[in-house]
Amino acid sequence: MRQLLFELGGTRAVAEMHDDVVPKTCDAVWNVLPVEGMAIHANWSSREIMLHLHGEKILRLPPEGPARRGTTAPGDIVYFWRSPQMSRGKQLAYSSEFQRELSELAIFYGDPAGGGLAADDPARSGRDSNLQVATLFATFIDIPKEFAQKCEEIRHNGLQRLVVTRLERSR
Amino acid sequence: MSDQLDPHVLSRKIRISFPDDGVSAVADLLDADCPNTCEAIWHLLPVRVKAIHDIWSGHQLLVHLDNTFVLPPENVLTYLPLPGDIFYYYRPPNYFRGSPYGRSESAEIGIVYDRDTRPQGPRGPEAVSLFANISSSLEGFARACEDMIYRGQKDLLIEKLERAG
Repeated sequence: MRQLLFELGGTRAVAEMHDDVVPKTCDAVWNVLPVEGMAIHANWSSREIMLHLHGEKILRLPPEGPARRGTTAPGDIVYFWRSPQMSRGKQLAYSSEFQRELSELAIFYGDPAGGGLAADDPARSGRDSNLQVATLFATFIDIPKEFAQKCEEIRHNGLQRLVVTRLERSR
Repeated sequence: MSDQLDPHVLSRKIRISFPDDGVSAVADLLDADCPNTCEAIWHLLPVRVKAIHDIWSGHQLLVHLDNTFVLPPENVLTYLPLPGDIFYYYRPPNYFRGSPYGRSESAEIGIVYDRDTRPQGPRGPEAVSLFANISSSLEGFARACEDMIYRGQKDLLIEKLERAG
């Protein structure tokens, strides 16, 4: 499996792609790497940070893989796309590029719920409407505590730069 | 004549401010619906606390009060609040597995600043005690709330707004 390196505020975490389950999504993400930007914390989805894909890096991918139940586990990384007409109004907290359409990597850094159920995200309802795509494509390998801590600190201290690169294996 | 007066004119009012931003809003206490909570909050004021943006509920802030500030539920059928609604919420120790916001026990005030919000914790929606509603300057206050998504937590001052005369 191909691996990804996530660097956030001086911490690192390594994820493994699910090439065997969602190969097309993995290929598409792999081909736009490296990507970087200011990571933003989720407001509805629990312990999740997001990296919006900018400019040439924007991905508009079709759904792939088994239907998800809308739940996540700590360490899951999801490709997410939302069409411009999906949500009411604008996301004024986001830059102008993302107030309507959204293309992002969603990184679930901690226990999403006390009982294992992710909190509902009203902005992400309508999964069967083809107006949005959410594909689980990678999972962290033993997510380091300091990396998770940095993710959580975004809520307290504001945005942090996140860099995602290919982790090339030595032969 | 008194029953024709606007209840907002008669209600006790509080001011909610971000001192560092120079932004504030005024809220009416809902004494008729939530008298015990309103009374307790009124006597608690003023408070200056760190506000943090919620991560489960949508367009909502919360502030953590001292855990000894425990009030019984009152006026709690508030799963779908309106913009400007302000509520009190308490969860006892170990109510949730883990420690949401680093706290196993929490007494909180929540402030809803836009639609598409539902007070909830890790296990889903939570009923909260609705005790006040912002009656003026919500728009500018909401922008300062939303700004916390980018900038992180902010100092929040909640104080009594005494009537002149």
